[in-house]
Amino acid sequence: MSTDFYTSSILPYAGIIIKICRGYTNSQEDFEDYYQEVCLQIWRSHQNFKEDSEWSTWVYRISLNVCLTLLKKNKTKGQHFVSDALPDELIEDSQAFVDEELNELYAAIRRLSELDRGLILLYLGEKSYQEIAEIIGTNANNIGVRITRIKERLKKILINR
Amino acid sequence: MEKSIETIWKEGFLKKDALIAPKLNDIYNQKSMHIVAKLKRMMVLNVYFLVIFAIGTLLLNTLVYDIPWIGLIIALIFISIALLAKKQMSQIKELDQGSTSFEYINSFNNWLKDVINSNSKYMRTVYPICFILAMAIIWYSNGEDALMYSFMEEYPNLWYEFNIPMMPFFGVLFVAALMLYFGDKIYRWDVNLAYGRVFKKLDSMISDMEELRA
Repeated sequence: MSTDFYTSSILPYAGIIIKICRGYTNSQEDFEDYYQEVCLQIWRSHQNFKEDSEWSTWVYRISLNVCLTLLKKNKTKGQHFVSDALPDELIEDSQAFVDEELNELYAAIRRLSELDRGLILLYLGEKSYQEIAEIIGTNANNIGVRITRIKERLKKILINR
Repeated sequence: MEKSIETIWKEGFLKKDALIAPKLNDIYNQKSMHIVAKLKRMMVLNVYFLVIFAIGTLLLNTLVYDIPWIGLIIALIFISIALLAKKQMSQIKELDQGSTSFEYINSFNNWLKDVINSNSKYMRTVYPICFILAMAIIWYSNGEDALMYSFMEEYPNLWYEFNIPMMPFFGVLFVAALMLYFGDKIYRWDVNLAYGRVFKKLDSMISDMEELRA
């Protein structure tokens, strides 16, 4: 990956990658691995970008796909992964952000299913329901209802902490 | 909870240093170590499989089919392949691990190509021999109930030499000759079946790294 490409096409969108990767990892080490892998994948697949959507949408799509793939790989390898059944210490990366509430929100997000994590991260990234549907590859009709349920679930998790 | 999740999100990311991108470093080093380790693991498994197969074939042909000599030949062939693979794997240690990722992964790739080239010469003779031995198992197995006796009873007028019907034997030899001729291709197809995905990853990593260095 050339430095030019990284500086011009990835770094301005690093926020998206960071926000997504944090939702799928529970340690700094994993986060850095996921981040690097996403960057590499964006670089590898940038020639497939057809410009029928925004570059940021493309970055979101690659980030989510890479995170889901890596999560699956880790599961099959038997490494720890996040699920409702795991204790808090495994889903918290309490030093990820300066803001304590944001860390708690991420810990709650990591309790969600893989797909719900993707949906809520896209929603918080201010993507429209239509864009979310395009990125996830689903129908936009039910996205709103699903997100409302996810938000309720997150609130419950945050209140119970 | 007073704040909405949207507010927590927005305010959290407004704070300084909330979005610091990690440095992209060492990625190819990690990947090259990972891919070499994966190939090594697969090769070790292959050696175990060869040894187990050799012992299994020997036992099966001795205890069940009553043709220990064929079992012994097959076992020796597979043990020799396992020993060769083990010897070749020990050469990986000689590759310079102190070199850069690019140099290391390239020397590993070259070693792999050398191994495949030298094995293809060896293996192209193994396939026809194994085919002939498999036919011999069908012909001689099960002692007095062997196919050999019922076939000779059914077709007594065929041309036989040492209890072997020569016309089908020539057919077997013809197929074996074809296997010898196409042995190189069969071996590469065989290897690709087992290691193809890892080889592709290795090639793609090398081309990525070459592009980086350009």
